[in-house]
Amino acid sequence: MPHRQWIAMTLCGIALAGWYVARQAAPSQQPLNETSPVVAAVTDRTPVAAKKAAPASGSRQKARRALEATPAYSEPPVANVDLEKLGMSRLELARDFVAAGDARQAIGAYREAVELYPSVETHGALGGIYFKLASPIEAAEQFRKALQLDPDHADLWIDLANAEQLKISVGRAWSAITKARQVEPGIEIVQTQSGLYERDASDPNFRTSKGSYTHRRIP
Amino acid sequence: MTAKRIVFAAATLAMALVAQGAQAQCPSSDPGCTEYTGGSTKTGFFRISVPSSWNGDLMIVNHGFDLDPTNINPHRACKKNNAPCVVDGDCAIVGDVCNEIDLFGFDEYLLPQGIAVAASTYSQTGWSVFASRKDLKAILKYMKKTPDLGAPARTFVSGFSMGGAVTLDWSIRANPKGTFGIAPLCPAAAGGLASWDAATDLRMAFDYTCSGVSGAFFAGAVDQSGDDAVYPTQTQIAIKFDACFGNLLGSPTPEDQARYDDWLSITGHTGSPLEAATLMGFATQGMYDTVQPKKKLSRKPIAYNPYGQVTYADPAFDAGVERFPEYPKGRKKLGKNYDPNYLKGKAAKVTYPIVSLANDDDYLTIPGMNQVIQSAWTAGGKDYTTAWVNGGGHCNFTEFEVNATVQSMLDWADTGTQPSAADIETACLALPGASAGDCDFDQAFTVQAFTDRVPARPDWPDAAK
Repeated sequence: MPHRQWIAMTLCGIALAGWYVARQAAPSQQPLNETSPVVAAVTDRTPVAAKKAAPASGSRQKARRALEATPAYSEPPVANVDLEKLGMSRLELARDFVAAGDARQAIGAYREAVELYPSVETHGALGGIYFKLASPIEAAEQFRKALQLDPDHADLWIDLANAEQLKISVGRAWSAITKARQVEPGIEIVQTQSGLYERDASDPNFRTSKGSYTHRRIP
Repeated sequence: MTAKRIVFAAATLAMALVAQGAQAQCPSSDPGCTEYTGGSTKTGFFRISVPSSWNGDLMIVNHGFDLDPTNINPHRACKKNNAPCVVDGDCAIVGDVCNEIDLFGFDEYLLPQGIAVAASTYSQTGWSVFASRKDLKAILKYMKKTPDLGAPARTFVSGFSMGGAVTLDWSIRANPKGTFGIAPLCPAAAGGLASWDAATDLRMAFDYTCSGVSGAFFAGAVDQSGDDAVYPTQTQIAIKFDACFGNLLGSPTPEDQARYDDWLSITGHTGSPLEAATLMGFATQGMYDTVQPKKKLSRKPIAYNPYGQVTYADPAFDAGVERFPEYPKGRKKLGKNYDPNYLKGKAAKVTYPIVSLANDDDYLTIPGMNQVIQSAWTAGGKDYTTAWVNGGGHCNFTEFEVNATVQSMLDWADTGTQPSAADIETACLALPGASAGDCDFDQAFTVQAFTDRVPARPDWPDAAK
């Protein structure tokens, strides 16, 4: 085989490998309300043009370069993809971005996780990041979607109550707390000094600690 | 006729039917009641729950600040096609939401007393006092014209946050005849000018503190006036906030923390970073929604902090902040919507009970806002009672605290005896199932002046200065 063809085949191989790595590892830089090219490629949704990525670091930077090198996802969707696994990998990546304090990338990855694998966990996680970013309307939407999948999830009702409280929808927050009590009778819910709701620390299903906040018990 | 025209005609007919009024499902608190719905985009949509043994009284409960125009929609109608619904799942379009006009739990204790409860979406989003009194009047007009109902014998008005401002605006600009009491709850009580000057200062403090920080730049004028104003999403706002202060997701760097400490020092914010980011939403999105719409300020500027006449407590900020010395065109209209003044016009004639409730550390409608309206009530010779509840956050009340406040106002209207804040606490503790934690009043609280946080402008009403 002529030397030139070997080089061409090697470059093609590198590009394909890069594309695969990119799909596995890197969320795309995208407007926050659009389906990502990665998701479009694997779920047969309307492809959108790949956007130019922001600088990243380490292996993610490599992955991003590879993503940039790929075409605009006009190929047919990939068959036999384990969407749950892919969604969960996006979730992990999103958590890494949160830990690194990169809000924009975190939201992108959470959104991809939801699009790849809509579930209580992914909707709840996306709602959670929206809440942390003081975006209660978007947070409430995600918590509601999660509750459509599992209406008996008391913690999601508490999350929804907090999003409603931040939206100043006090009545809806109270309603959500009532629902939490209905789906889990005996649940101990307290209110922080900021007016947000959480399980009492004495509750066996207590999840988080809010440090020095004082609490009052909710009837 | 094209398909598009048929769809349009059908939609128009459907809207017309809704506007004429219809009966819907009652709240679970009184399944035997009659539920009326109506309204239009011009007057806002409303619902009225009328108990089976109606005593002729009506309580209107007003909702808080809401920037989502799709919430100006009929009660229990899918937002995208107005199809009737009870829950989101009833809507045929995937992702559509069943619109619910909230009664904030007032129905649970008022319907059993024979008092009807109504609520409006208002016709405007955000700072809705430009038209809200007309929206509330539409409810009364509808009742008067409906043979089964008739005009209420007594009307009471209450509301949370922006709904508290709508309640105050009603008491200032609506004919007091027919109204027998108001109960503003955590109200945005400082009026148009002082409230939005506070928001302008928040934005200017951010621009000043975060100047030069990558990713923390807000485009457009600080008061969102003019053609180049940008409406950022709440998430975009939070990302800018986090770029400067680094405290929403991860741990801030020492530089981030120093900037945040500066911002806290300038603004006097006492809440959490999450609440601070929420405040920035009011200062950008809320400001845009107040200044840009034609039916509000029509893009006219409002920023006004002439040097020498407006002095900020932080000397460095006072020296470095951007100044707007010229009297801007939008302020006159903003000042009217609304003006906390009970000395003139219809407000001067108010004699009905006023009972308000507020948190002693509310991060949004700060206690000082209540000081403004208290000054206005005192100047106007009004009898009023304000009760304070322990807590930060915003409208951080239990249902017991709200119930006791509203009930105390109703009792005052019935008996003529004004309750004290201590009486409201006693009434709260007397409610079935209530404990001390459910009635967490702060009887010792002394409110500080609004101007301790926000420097007065020369054109503010006297009550705010």
